[in-house]
Amino acid sequence: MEPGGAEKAVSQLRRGVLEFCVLALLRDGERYGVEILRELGAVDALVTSEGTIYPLLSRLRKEHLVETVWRESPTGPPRRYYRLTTTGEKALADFSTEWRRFRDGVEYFLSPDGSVEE
Amino acid sequence: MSTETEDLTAAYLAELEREAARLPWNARAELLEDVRSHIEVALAEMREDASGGPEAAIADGDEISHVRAMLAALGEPREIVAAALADEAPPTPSSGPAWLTPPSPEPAWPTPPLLISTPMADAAPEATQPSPLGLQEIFAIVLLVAGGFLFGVGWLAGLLLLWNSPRWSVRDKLVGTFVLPGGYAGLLMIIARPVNDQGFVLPSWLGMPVLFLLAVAPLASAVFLFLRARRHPAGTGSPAGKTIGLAVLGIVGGIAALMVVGAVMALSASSGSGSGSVQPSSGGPAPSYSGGAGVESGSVVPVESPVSSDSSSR
Repeated sequence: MEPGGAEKAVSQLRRGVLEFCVLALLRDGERYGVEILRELGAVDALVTSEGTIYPLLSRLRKEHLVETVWRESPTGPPRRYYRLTTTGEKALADFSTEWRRFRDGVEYFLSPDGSVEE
Repeated sequence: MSTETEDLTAAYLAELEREAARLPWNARAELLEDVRSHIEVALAEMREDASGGPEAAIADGDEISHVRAMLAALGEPREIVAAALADEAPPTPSSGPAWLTPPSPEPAWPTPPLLISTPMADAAPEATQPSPLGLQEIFAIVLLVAGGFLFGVGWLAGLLLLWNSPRWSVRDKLVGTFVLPGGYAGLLMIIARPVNDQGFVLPSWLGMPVLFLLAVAPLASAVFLFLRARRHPAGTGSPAGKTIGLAVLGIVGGIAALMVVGAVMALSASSGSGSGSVQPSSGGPAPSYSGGAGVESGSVVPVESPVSSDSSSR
């Protein structure tokens, strides 16, 4: 294990924020599972195993942050689409505000001149 | 679709299914369906992308390397199931998103408020919080208490569920099996044959407490199992593979225990046959028994109802 556990800290952080990245992905309209995984997988360092997103989506559905609907596809098998509920929209908006404060706070200490000004 | 593609995806799904045995059945079914559908959709899109049209042929070798990449991106089935397990016990029943939950009033350790209720941080206190029972556990308890009335088969099914569940320790399972074999049906089998022969008579002062203990035992055992399962969140118990051998052991033990009950019953029946043990009410020091047995058939069902309604409401 590396000194200080930076990797572990980031991994905990990632687990905490991942669900809001998923909610944010749905902000502009419904998407199906393969699409969501593709978008998340395209961003480095956010998801290690794409398959772990399905349990996450399932939990978001149980918490009524997203709802799902199966749709037939003209070319292939039916797809399960996910979209935000109003609760989900609110959770996403709340998180966005909190996240900016959190990010600014961390930045304040991490930036080289941060701790100088008291 | 080439057979090699089929083999690859089937092997992947089979491994996922094996790993998912640790999950409660509804979570398992949903995860398997999601991943199976993901693979189907991804395969269909892969073919479209490769050839610009559905069902057009692409080179086999090409397809297989794509399939491998797709399965690798999905990740190890073990990792996926681990993530599902971590998500299984929702942190708090509050309606808001988890991270918004205020820190508990008496945190045992200082934690920065923003991070306290991320899924990771919840993993620790989760062990002390009661977690709801799965359907398997509910059925196991109900069948153990009352399943004996379904020709005894119900109790054996309950036993199977009990020993197959990862949420009870071996000790819990032994308690569930031997207190009492057959549940209330087993109890009824014992006391419906009053031992009124002089050869084997309990003094009435001892008979009542023993009867009382016997009547309470299955209920107490059910409550015990209920509480133990609640304290033991899904997936933290003994690994599924190990429990199969134990399950066989438990079921053999349970059948043996049933046979002992049956033997005791047969013995008392044969020793009492001279004085007409078929009659439930016969004088002597046994009336407390026979009286108990007489009303028992009517009172058994209400006795168990608190447990079943309690456990199914969880």
